[in-house]
Amino acid sequence: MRRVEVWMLVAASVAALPAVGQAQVRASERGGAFQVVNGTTITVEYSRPAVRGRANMFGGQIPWGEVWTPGANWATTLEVDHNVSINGHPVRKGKYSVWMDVQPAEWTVILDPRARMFHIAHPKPDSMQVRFPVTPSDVQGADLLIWSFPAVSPTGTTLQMAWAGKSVSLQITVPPVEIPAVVAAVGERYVGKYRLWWGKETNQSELSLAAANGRVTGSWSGAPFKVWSDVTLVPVAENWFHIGAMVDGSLYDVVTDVVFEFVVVDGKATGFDIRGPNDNVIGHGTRIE
Amino acid sequence: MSRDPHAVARPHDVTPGPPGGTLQHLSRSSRRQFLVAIAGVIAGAAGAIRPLWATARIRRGDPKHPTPRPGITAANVLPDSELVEYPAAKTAFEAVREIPQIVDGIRCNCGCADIPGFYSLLSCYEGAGMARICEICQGEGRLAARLFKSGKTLDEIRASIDARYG
Repeated sequence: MRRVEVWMLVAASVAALPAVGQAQVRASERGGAFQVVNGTTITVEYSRPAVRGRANMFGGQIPWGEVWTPGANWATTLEVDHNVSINGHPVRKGKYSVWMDVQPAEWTVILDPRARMFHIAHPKPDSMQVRFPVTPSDVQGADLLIWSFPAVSPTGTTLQMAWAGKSVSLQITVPPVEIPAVVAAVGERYVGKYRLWWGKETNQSELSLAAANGRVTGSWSGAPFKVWSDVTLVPVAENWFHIGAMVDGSLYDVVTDVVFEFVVVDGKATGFDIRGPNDNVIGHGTRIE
Repeated sequence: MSRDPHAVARPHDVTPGPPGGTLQHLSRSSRRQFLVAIAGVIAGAAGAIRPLWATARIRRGDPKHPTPRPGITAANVLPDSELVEYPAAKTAFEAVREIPQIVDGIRCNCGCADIPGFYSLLSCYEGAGMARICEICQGEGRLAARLFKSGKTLDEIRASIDARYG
């Protein structure tokens, strides 16, 4: 048989084999969840055990006093890309393996900077760890272990683990993001009142801008969304701003898909274009005062 | 346009880094490697490989812009006849046709920059015509043209693109 024919036979035989790497099914498949809050990303990666009819999980299958990873196989990990606080305890930016010292009443959450640990490691107390108490709640269902973020606010989020009738909630607070300051002399360029349209030229409204304390803030009457009644201009580049909605004096939403481009003549803004992601003009403002 | 974009290119203006994704899961066994390779070839031939979009590494905000290729033109930018079903994209293509030497010095921020064969924002307007449906590609092209017409240099345009889309 010629060599080419031999190789064709080998190739055909290989085609009949199952693809290498298919047989990777796990009883506790990998899963994950992430949440971004004001520029901070919080990521949980874990293997997901199921109760599968087993009774008396906590205090039985998982004995009281066991340092358990709320997951399976390799320890569950929590990663934060900025310093945060969890239940009021400072947690530095980084990746941690997550453990819980399971007790009849109060559990202890343990974040260990050695992120890659197998579930049987049961790490001993260590000064590198972040440890704090939590009180688990009863929960219905949760046969399959799940980490989720059931609540999100501008300042933080709730991270929750639920499994086998118990849940633990962690309140994560993220660091605030400061709006870049606008130099007073520059901010004065934009101060005044503008008539503007948004979307359609018939959608007329008025935007009054003021400058103080390094910020350019505004009052938008007839804004397309009620939450934009009080706004802050967030600097992007010279004379370019994103618009930020203020609620109760705090920054609530910065619309990064849209840019307000001011036209400045002789040190004073005469108006602005509002441009969408494709750079087309979707609104326009003209100074009236 | 009479300006030479190469005059504003800087030594740090390098081409994008190596594409993402490595074959980390190959077995140590050379026999198995062989089987994997053969299986991959066969699977690929059968159309079982995921599309490029499924594996492209999204890397927003990467400041590394490509160096415009000497003599680059808009010859490969899709003509209007290819835009009949995409009227909203037409002005972006028109804008890019006027300044290929500038657009070729800009890295696109929509996530397509790591696709094999991609060189610059100009690539989005050629071949498969990514820019026909991508708001970011269109926006960057239009913005580049606007800024160039207002007298901005390539570096200034790059800075503005990064501020807006990075």
